[in-house]
Amino acid sequence: MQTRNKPGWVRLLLTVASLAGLAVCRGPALLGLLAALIVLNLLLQPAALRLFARLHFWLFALAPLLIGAALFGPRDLSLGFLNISRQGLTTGWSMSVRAVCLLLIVQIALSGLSVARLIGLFHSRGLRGLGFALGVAYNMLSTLSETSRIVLSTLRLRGAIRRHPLLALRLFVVAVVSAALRHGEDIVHAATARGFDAE
Amino acid sequence: MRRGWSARDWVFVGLFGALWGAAEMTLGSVLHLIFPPLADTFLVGLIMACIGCLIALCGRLFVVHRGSVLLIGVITSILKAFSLGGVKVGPIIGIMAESLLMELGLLLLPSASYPAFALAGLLAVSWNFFHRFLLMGLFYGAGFFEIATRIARDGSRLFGIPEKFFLLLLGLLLFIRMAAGAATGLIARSIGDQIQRRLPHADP
Repeated sequence: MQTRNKPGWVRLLLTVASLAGLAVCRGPALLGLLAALIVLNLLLQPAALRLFARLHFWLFALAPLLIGAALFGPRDLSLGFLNISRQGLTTGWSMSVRAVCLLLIVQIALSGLSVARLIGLFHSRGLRGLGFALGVAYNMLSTLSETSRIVLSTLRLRGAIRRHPLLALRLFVVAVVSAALRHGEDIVHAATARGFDAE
Repeated sequence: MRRGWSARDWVFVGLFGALWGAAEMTLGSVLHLIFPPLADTFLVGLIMACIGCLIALCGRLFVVHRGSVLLIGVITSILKAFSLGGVKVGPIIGIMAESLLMELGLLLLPSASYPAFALAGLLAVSWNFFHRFLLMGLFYGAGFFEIATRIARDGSRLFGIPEKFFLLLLGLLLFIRMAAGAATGLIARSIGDQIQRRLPHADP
């Protein structure tokens, strides 16, 4: 994902300013804020705007507009064969814009951050243990996926899933967690051997 | 920095965070694709909350420190935030709230007991009931509650259903979550015991 590298305080400032703007803006001013947030996202992290390409996003954004127009208030506006509510349309519209603005603000807050940068941030703030745990978690994801796949295949090949689905589910959890903990012991030994001290 | 936490504790926090994160990223995404968005709260959210509780509460048996479940939740949230498919505010808030409520449950009763695990699970999975309302309120503002109340009132008038019925339905949905949560807590405790018997060296 392409990201423009801005200092953390710039992102923080922009996030706080945008949230303040969202709290204050009403009516047409909300549209101005939305436009400003789209431009900011384009400048900071253009890939974040892929959000607009998702069906789920449009369902989320347009639901209040459609529900408001169809079900809220008197149906006093005629659009061809459709009778909709002017009051519902206005309320739904401002709700939709507000929701999209909030999503874009979250994107700004997280733009430019990565797990590696976050681990570095934890270390520099004296949270070495948490940074270490996050590093372990991030690097264990692929191992855990592989372990889960193998355990699931084993259970399927032995016919456990078909015959005893609930017991198989329990065995799946026990086997995956046990394998992860065994792997964890190796990490503990390696960390101890390298003189790791979380405090 | 948390005093008295060994490297093993931090590794296990990371491991259980990764397990919960992996479940969220794989199973969570698949379920969100299979079920329509409106089923999110009632089915997908409930399943994912139960799985999360199961993993985090198991983790509590291996990291016997206060705050370990909350830290597992923090790790999971970060992994979810940086997973493929962009930022998902809803699941991140859900994971954090659930881990906070589990921690609260374990704080109220002796933390390794079955009742404490049941209470922790009950509180955490109950969050799923309030999650969508709070999230919609946060995103859509006060207008959401206004519209929801009006629709419920108009709907009850239109179909001739008493308004009390909606309250009953909401109560039933909350009760299902509480029961599922308590059961998940008990199962987590029992599975944790089983895993500890398998791994004598991992026993804290």
